[in-house]
Amino acid sequence: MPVGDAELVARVLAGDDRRAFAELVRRHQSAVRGLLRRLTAGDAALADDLAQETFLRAWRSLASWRGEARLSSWLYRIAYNGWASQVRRAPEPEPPEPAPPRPAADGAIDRHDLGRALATLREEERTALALAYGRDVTHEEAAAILDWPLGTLKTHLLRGREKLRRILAAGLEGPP
Amino acid sequence: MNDRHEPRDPVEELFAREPYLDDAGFTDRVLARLPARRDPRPLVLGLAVATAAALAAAVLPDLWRLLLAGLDAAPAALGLPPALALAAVALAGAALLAAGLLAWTD
Repeated sequence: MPVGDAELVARVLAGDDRRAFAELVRRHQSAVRGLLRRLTAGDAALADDLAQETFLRAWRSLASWRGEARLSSWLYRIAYNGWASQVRRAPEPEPPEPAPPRPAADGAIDRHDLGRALATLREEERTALALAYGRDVTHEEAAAILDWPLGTLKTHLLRGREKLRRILAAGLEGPP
Repeated sequence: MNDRHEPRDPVEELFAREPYLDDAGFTDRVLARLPARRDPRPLVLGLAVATAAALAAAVLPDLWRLLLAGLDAAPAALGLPPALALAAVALAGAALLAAGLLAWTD
């Protein structure tokens, strides 16, 4: 039976157990890196740098995780705050004109296209989509992570989703 | 539990196709950037020194008398001046202390 996150955290805190921390990184890296890739509109290198910082900050402040929220939610909050700080330090350029994704041969749209489409959204819309479409994140959790009212999250989510739908539709129905 | 699900939502499908990211290299890079392990040796060394100091303080008057008596008698027996004998004792003590510290921190 796999050891729970709380037990692994306790091992890290009690004995500087790096194997336990490595297991936590292995467990949560995909979700954290995925969130940051969505937030950075597909910039994988920047997302991975921010993900490393996320886990280093988590290591330093692991004692402050009380277990009221899931560890993944706590990590998402650290990741989001790290990304937000990065944006404040180096503001993102104006969003490019919406460039419809190029449909692949089988009609699918690849993740690079998703990144380009996300880059055309307003920051709040992208943030809402990035969190709400994360693995196993409820709207309530996403709103709590962002410190937004639930209604605000849903508004940005709705707008962002509609914009993405229009971009996707244009990409799939446009000329070859 | 989650009210975001709409079956066959193309946006949701797009996000659902994101790859699962799991590589050992990422974990290794994070671990390599962690601060150095907490080293218990300074604490243990400090406790040992404190204990030794407490013991020495308890028996020091007797030890001091013995040492002075030895320093008086030994040079005469060996034909050395007392100052040289004192220096030899101090050097031997310092060498022992240094060897102990080196062995400990190795």
